[in-house]
Amino acid sequence: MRLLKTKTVPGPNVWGLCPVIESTLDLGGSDDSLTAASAWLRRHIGSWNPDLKPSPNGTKSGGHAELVRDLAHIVLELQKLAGAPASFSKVVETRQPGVFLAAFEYVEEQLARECLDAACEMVQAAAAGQAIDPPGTVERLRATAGRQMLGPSTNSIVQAARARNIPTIRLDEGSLVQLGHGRAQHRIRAAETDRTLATAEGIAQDKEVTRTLLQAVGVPVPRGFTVTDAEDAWYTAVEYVGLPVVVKPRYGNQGRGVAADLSTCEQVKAAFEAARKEGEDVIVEKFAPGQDYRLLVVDGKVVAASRREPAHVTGDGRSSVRALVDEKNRDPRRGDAHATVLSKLVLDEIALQVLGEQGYTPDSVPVSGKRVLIRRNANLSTGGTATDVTESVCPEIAEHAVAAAAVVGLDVAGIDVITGDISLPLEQQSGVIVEVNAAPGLRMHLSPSEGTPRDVGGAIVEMLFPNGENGRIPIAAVTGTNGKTTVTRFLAHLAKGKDHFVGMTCTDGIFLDGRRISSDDCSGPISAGLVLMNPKVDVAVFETARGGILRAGLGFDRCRVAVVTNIADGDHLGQSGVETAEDLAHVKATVVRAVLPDGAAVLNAADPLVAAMAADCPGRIVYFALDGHNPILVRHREAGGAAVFVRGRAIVLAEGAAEEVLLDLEQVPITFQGRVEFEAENALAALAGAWALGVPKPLLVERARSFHTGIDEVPGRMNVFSIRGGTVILDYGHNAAALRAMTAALEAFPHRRRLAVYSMAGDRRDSDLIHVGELLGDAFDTVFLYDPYTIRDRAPGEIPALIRQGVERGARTREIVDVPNPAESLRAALDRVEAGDLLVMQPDDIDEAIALVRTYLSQVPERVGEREAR
Amino acid sequence: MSMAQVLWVRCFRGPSLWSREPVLAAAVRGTPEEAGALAQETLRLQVECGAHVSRASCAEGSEPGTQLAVVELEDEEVARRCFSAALEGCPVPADKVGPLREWADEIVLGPNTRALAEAARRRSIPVRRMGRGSLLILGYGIRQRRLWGARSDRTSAIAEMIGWDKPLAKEMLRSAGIPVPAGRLASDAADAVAAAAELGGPVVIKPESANHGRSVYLNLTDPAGIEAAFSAAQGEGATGQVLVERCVQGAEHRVLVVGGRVVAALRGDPLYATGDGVRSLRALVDEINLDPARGVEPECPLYPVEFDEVTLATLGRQGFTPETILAAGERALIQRNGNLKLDVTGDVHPANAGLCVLAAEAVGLDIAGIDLVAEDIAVPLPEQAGALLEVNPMPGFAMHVGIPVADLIVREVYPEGTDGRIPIAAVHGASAATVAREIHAALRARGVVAGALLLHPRQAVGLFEFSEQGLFERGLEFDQCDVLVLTDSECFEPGARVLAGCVGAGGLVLLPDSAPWRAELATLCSACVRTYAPGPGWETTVARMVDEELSGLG
Repeated sequence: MRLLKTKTVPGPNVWGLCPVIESTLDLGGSDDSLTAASAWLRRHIGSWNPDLKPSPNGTKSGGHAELVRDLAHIVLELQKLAGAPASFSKVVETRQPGVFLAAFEYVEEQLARECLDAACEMVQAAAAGQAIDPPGTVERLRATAGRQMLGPSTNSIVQAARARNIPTIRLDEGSLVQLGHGRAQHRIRAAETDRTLATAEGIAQDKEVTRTLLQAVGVPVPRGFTVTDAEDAWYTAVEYVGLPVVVKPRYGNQGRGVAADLSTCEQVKAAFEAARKEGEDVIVEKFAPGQDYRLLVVDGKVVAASRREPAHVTGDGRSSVRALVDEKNRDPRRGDAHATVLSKLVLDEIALQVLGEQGYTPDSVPVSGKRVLIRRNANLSTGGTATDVTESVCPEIAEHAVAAAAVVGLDVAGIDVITGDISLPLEQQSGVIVEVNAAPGLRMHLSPSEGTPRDVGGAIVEMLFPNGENGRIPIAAVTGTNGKTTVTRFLAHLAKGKDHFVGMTCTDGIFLDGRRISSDDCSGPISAGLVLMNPKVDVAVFETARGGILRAGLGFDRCRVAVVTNIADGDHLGQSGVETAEDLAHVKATVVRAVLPDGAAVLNAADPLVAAMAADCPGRIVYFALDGHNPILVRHREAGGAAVFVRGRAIVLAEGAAEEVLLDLEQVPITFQGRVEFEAENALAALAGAWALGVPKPLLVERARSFHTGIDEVPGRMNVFSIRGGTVILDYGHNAAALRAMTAALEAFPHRRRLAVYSMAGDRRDSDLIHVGELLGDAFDTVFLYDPYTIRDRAPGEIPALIRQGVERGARTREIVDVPNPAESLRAALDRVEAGDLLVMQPDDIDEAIALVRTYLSQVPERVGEREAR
Repeated sequence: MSMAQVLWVRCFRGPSLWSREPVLAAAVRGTPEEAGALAQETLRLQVECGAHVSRASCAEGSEPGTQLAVVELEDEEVARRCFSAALEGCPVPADKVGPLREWADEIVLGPNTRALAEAARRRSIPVRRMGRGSLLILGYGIRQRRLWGARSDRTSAIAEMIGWDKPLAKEMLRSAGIPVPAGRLASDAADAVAAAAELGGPVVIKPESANHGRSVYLNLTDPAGIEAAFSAAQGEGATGQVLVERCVQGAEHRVLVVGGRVVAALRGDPLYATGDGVRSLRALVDEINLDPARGVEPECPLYPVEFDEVTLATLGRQGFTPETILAAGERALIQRNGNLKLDVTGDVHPANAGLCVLAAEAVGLDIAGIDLVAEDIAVPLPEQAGALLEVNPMPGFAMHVGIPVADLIVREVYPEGTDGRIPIAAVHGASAATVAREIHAALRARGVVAGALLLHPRQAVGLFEFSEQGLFERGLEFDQCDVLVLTDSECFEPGARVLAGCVGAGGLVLLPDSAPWRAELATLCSACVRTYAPGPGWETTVARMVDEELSGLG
C-alpha cells in the first residue's frame, strides 16, 4: 500500500461542502492481510483494549475498496480521539487499477495528515503481525492537536458562531479569527473582540488606576496603597491598611507575584521583594477573607460566575501529599497545557513553599478530611478547580460587576470578587472586587469542574452579532466554460446598485469598488478570501474557475447566488482527472451545491448539463435562456419558478405566470443591440444573478444601460474597434464553443473579408487544437497563427502546426500566416486590415494586446498617410 | 529652614483659597526673605525635574511671624519632594538635584502626553491624569474621553496587535488592495537566500515584529549579506522568523493618519557623509550628530547616528569602516533610512492620502503612522511602483516638527465646539449636606446620574458639597461650575468666594435672601443671582430650583 499523493482542499469542493484531505492510494500488489488488518483495526480503534493482540486473520476480507473505506474510517476515528472530530469520508476508484482516491473531512490540517500517516503505519504493521500502540499514537496526536487547534476560549466562540451560520476565517496561527465577511465582519482574539479597547486593556493592567475608577462608580474595593520600598510596605500595612494584607505588583495580571493573608513583617517584606520582580510599584491592600469568585461580564451583563478554589488535596489519613496529588492528576480532565479543562497539579518550588507554610512536605500524611493547599491562588492553570454558581449571583453584585467593566471600558471582562456568599450583597459581608481582567479565560465557565457549563462563547457572539445577524454579505459566484469573466464583471457592475461597495475577482484581477488592485488571474480561492477580509466590501462577486475548485475548493463557504453559464463541450478536458464534459459539470456544480437555502442558482436552461444541476441546489432556481419557450424553462414557470428570457427584442423577468419586461436588448450595450447572441446570453445570466441578489428592478435597468463594452469595462471581451474602415474584434474566447459563438456573431458586423489571429494553450488535447483549426478553416479567409507564451509541455511551433492541420481541412481559408511571437502576430494582422475587412484577434495576454491596440490606434492616422518603414 | 518651621503644607489640583491654578501652599514661620527663597527654590527644582511651571509668590500669613508660600505645581508628588528638598537648604546643592531629577523622570509627563494635556487645556477641556502612566481622562462623566499617548478610547486592542504583526498587517493591506512589497517569512538563513532568489533583485530583511525600524537591512543583493542580515534580524523578533521583501525603490516616508485623515507627512532621504581627506567617518558622524534635532530624548525628531550592526553592514558593503578616511569630496552612504526630516504634508497626492487612510482602516486603527516608500509622494503610488510597508500603532508625534499633532488628536475626540464638560452644581455651607442630598434625590427621580467624582461613564451632572474647612484643606476639583448654592447667610467666607469666582457667566447662584453681601457677590461673578427664603422645607425648594436650572442646561 503506497500513499501516492495528499492534497488539502479547504473550501467546498467536488466531494461536498466540508474541507477534505484527498489522498491517493496505490494498493496494487497488496494482499488480503492488509484488508483484514484494516477491517480489524477499524473495529477496535475506538475502544482499544491493551490486551488485544493483533490477530486480524480471523476477519473476513472484503477487497480493496473495503480496505480504503476502513482506512478512511480509522483516520476519522483518530481525529476524534485526538479531539478534532470529523465525520465525512468517501472513497472512489480511479481509472488506474488498484489506485483509489479517498477523501476525508478534517478540522486541523496538520493533525489530519498525521492521522493519515498513523493509520497507514498501523494497518501495515498489524498486517505484518507487528505490535501496535494506538493509545501512544493517540497521545502523540493529541499533543499535535493541542498545539494547533484553537484554544478552548477561541474555539467556544467559533463554534457558537458556526451554530448561528456565521462564517469563520482563521487569520493566523494563534487565536485571531474573523467572524463574518466583508463589512459585516468582526475580529476576535480569544476573549478579546474588535470592540475591546486598547486603553481599557491598559487600564485593566494597572491595578491602581483600576481601583480609582471602581471607586468612582461606587464599587466596594479593598483599602490599599501603592508603595515603592519594603519599609514603606510594612509601615503602610500596619498604619494605613490594617493586617492581614495582600501584597501584589501594581502592573500585570495572571496572578504572578501576588501573596495573600500576610501578618508579619517578614512575610510582608518578602512578598514585597517577590512582587517587586514584576515592576517597581507594589500595592499593599487589605486582605479580604472569603471565597474567590470570577464573574464574566459580556456586553453589560453577567453571563457566568464561577467559584474558584486553588489547587489542593484532601487528606485520607493514609496517603502522602505526593500520592494524593498523583491521585488527583489521574482525572482525565487534567492535562498539561492550557488546552484541557483542568490542569495537572505540580509539586514545584511554589508548591513546596505553600506546603511548607502549612507545615507539610510532599511526604507528609495529612489527617483524614484535612484540606491541604498546593497553591494559594485559584488559577485554573496551576491546578485549581471552578464551580459554576451563575444562578446564585445576587443582583447587587451583578450590578457592581457590570459597572466595573463599564468604567474600565471593557466589552468582555473577568471580574474577581472576594466575598463569603455570592448570593448576598457585598456590603453585607465586607466583600470586595479586587481585579478587573481583560481578555479573561473562558475555560472555567465552559467546562466547570462542577455545575452547569455556560455558553459564554455564544454570549460573545450574541454581542457582536445581535438580532440574529449572521455576519454574511451577499456573495455571487460565477462559473461555466464561456462567458465567466463577462458575466462576473457585468454582475459586479449591476450589484453596485446605488452605492454598494462591490468586491469582485475575475481572471483580470481583483476589483474593489471598480478599482483594479491586482493584475493576475484572480479567479481562485485565495483572491476570494482576500476580498472577504476587506472591511469595506458589502457585496462580493467571484469568478470561480475550474482550476481553483479542483486545487483548493471554493474561497467561501456558501454563496447567495451561483451562476452557471454553460458547459458545452467543456474545456481543459483531460487535465486533473476531468475527462468528460459530465466530469466538468460535476466540478462546476460545486458552486451550486454551496448555495444557501435562501439563495438561488441561476442556470442556463438551454445547456442540458447545466440545467441538470438544479437537483444539486439547496435553494431556488432561476433559469435563463434566449428562447422563452425552452421546455425546461416553461415547466419551471408552471411550478411557480423564476426565469429570465428574451421575447422579441425585450428581456423579460418572470416568476411563475407573472411577467415583467425589464428592458430592451438595444439598451444593453454589451449585446451590440442584441446582434451578438452569446453576449445576449451573458447579459441574461448577469441580470438574473443581480435580480436574485435583490437589486431592485429600476436599478437593474439603470446599471445595465451604463455597462459598456469598452476596453476598460470588459477588456478582451468583445472589444470592437474600427481601423481604416475595417472592423477589429478583440476577444479572449479560447475554446471551440467560444469560437463557434463568435463566428455566429460575426453576422452582426457587415464585412466582406474575414481574418483571424488565433492560438491555444499547450495543455489542451491535440484533438482540441485540430478541432479549433477546423472551425477557423471554415470561417475565415486569412488565418494568422502564433505560438502562445504558455506552451506547457509542447515544443515550439507544435501548437500552430496542429492548429494548421485543422485549418487546412477547412473550406474557406485561402491563406495561413505563421508569426510565432504573439504581439508580432497581432501587429501583422492589424497591418493587413482594410475597409470592408473583419479581423478577429484572440490574444494570449490581454493586457499586452490592449496596450498594443491602444498604441496602434494612436498611430493609425499617420500610418494611413505615410507608409513608413518599421 | 526646617520642617519644624512649617505649619502646614498642602497641594491643590484645582482652585483653592490661594490660587485659581493648581498650587502647593505652605504656611511657614520665618522672615519674608526666607519664605521667598523657599518658594523660588521649590519652583526651580520643579523646573529642573521637567515640570512646566513658572509662578511662585509669598505673602504675610494670618498669624504674625508667619509667611504663606504659594508655588505653582504640575504634579503633587513632585512638588512635595521639591519643597522638602528646598526646606533642607536653599539653594539645593547640585548633587542632590541629580537624584531628584532622575526620580522625577519616571513620574513627569512624557512629551506626547504633555502635548495632549496642553492641547486639551488650550481648548478649556478638563484634563486629569490617572496614575503615573500616560492615561489621560479628558472631560467629565458621560462626556469623558480617554487618551493614552497616540491611542484613543476608540482604538481596538486587536487592531494594535495586527499593526505590530507585520506579516498579518500586510495581509490586511493586500486585502484592501493597497500595494505592498512582495515577500515572505523565512525560517533560516538558507531559506532567506532562497526567498530572495524567488523575488529577484535587491531585498530587505527585517524582523517579524520589532519596532522603531531596528535591524532593518535594506538593498541586499548578495547571499553573504543576506545571511548576515538574517542572523542579526532574527534576534529581534519574537518567533525567530524574518521577513524577506522586495526592496522598493524610492524614499522613505512616514504619513500620520488621525481619524480618517492624513494630517502630516515626512520624507527621509538616505544619509551620506562627504569626506575631506582628513577626518575619519567616525568624526564625520560625530559632526552629523551635533544637529540639535538628533537626540535620544523623546522630544527629538531624529535619533543620533550610531555605528550599530546595520550601519556597519552598510559601510562594510562599500568597503568602509568607521575609521576610514574618505578622500575629499568622496561620499559614503551611512544610513538608508531613519532620516525623516523633510515635511511634505502639502505634497501628498490625494490618491496616496486615500491609500494611507484605507491602510489604517484595513488594520482597524484610528490613529496610525504609515511607513511607505515612493520616489515622489505627489505622484500616485501605482504609477511609480511605490508601496506601503507598515501601519504603526501609537505613532510618535515629535518627528512631525511644526504639525500640531496633539491638537489634531484632541480635536478628533472633541470636535470644535465641544469641551467635554457636564453641568456642575456646588453647595456650600453648614447645610450643604442636606441640600445636596435633596438635589441628588431630585436628579435620581429624573434618572440622572450625579456625583462628585466625575468619572462615572453615565454621569450627567457633577454634584459637590463643600464646607469651609474642606475648601481650606482640599480646594476644588473643578475650575468652573454652573450652579452654586450658598447656605450660610452670616458672612461671605473665603471658600464661598472662591466658589463664586468659578461660576460661569451663564450660571446661577442661589443665596439666602437675608444675606447682606449680595452686592459683593456680584463683583466676583457675573452669573444670575437669586435668593431664597430660609423657611421650613427650604432645602427642597432650593433643590427644585437647582434641578430646574440643571435640566435647562442638560
